[in-house]
Amino acid sequence: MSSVQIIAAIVKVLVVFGACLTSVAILVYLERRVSAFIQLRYGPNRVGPQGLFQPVADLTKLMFKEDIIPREADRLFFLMAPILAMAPSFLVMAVIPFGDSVTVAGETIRLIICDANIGVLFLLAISSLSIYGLAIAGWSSGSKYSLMGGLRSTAQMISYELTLGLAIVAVLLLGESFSLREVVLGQTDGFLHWNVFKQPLGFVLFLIAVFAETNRLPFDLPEAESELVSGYHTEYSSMKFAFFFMGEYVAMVAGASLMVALFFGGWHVPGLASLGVEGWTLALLQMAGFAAKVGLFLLFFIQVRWTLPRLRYDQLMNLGWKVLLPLGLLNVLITAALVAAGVF
Amino acid sequence: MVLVKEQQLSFWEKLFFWPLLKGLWLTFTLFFRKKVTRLYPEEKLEPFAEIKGHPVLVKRDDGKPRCVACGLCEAACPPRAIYIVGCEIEDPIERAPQIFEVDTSRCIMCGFCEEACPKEAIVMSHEFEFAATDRQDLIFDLKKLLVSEDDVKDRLDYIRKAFDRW
Repeated sequence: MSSVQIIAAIVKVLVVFGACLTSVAILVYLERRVSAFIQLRYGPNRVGPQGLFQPVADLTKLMFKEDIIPREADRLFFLMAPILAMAPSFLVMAVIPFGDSVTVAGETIRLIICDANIGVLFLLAISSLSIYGLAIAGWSSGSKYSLMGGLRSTAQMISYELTLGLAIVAVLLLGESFSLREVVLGQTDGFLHWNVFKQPLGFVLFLIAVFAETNRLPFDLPEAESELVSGYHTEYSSMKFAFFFMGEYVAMVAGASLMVALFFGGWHVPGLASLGVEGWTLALLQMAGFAAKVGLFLLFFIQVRWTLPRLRYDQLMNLGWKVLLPLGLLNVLITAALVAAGVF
Repeated sequence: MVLVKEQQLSFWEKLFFWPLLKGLWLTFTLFFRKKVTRLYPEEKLEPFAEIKGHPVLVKRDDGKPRCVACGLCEAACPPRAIYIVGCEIEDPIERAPQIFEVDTSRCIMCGFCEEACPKEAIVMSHEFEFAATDRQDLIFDLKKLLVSEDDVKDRLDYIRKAFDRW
């Protein structure tokens, strides 16, 4: 690897990591504001203009809170769990393409941190790791509420991993490659070539699975505030709680980015090629397009939270195993048949 | 007794697809509607006669208080926020308060003093935004409590109507 490639890799990592953390701050603010507007109230609008410095206030508050470790807690795992919950979400961002490529000093730099040709496998494996964080958090807290929340969350996430995987498999059948970059490139022919039009059922399944994976309403029984106090993160305070909080938001960002990359053409902006822009301008516009799509999905996440009632645990498991799994298999079968028949 | 039969939903109805979309549309439109919150302290509530703030003493025409230091308000006050020391004076009214203190940090603005007063001398004002940084500043003495009749006219009209009920 030449020095240009190494520097490019470091810059890409910094940019993506920075973007993730910034988006967490933005999401903290947006969630409260958008939720408030939907409920016909104002939300935080005092800290800075339109309340834009609220995340700063939140972060400062979380940093200064007392860090409590319960006596019954298993110390090592208690300290490890928040990191395990947060780190995989960041790792997922490593294989998601956010632009095509730029040329720097004669070398083509692809705008994806790691263009592994097994990108999707890596993705699925890493996102399964985040389940460990929740299970360990629930167990090591030494409290029955946390344990029940942790168990519920683990079971829920494992169940919906299958649907997630099956929806992705169907998309891979279309693209014939495990690399996410290839999947996105296969959709750049035009607006109507986006995978959502070729795989509507797959998209719906993936959408529902992402809601369940990120423990987001209507699937947020594990952290149901009215039932289990706070589920698996009841006993956590200060920065550890902030890590869970951040981990959930980064998982949302990762899930939305994945959805955009798999089904909505990734960084493809329809009509951009006809404008005749080149090089860095094109790359920036592509990144802006990607960010806009991800942003729209994040707003959708927030909106659904206040639209749908929470699913009861047995309804949730029922949905995952008896409805979505068969539908996912059906989707794969139909896609395979269509691909074999040469339609796609 | 009304018997309601359990509805049998069709396949499409069980999918809940259309109600989901209608719900999402509703929350989307809700985002743009006028908010029901009042932005205090920029937008304040216009006080009306029924609003009770801290009690004030009404002046007679010559500037002296109507109060005859009977002590009924002091007895009626639930948190015992009123402290009165009366004295004899030369006026036809024959008695007036020498010391009249309302400890507004104890006052619960219930209006019992106003109800108990036989002379319409103590009335609830509309003043409830009087936070202070020192506890001593919250003990209002006679000088601070005296107001003219015009300032509390709406409250006086209201209590004449309200208390005449019984």
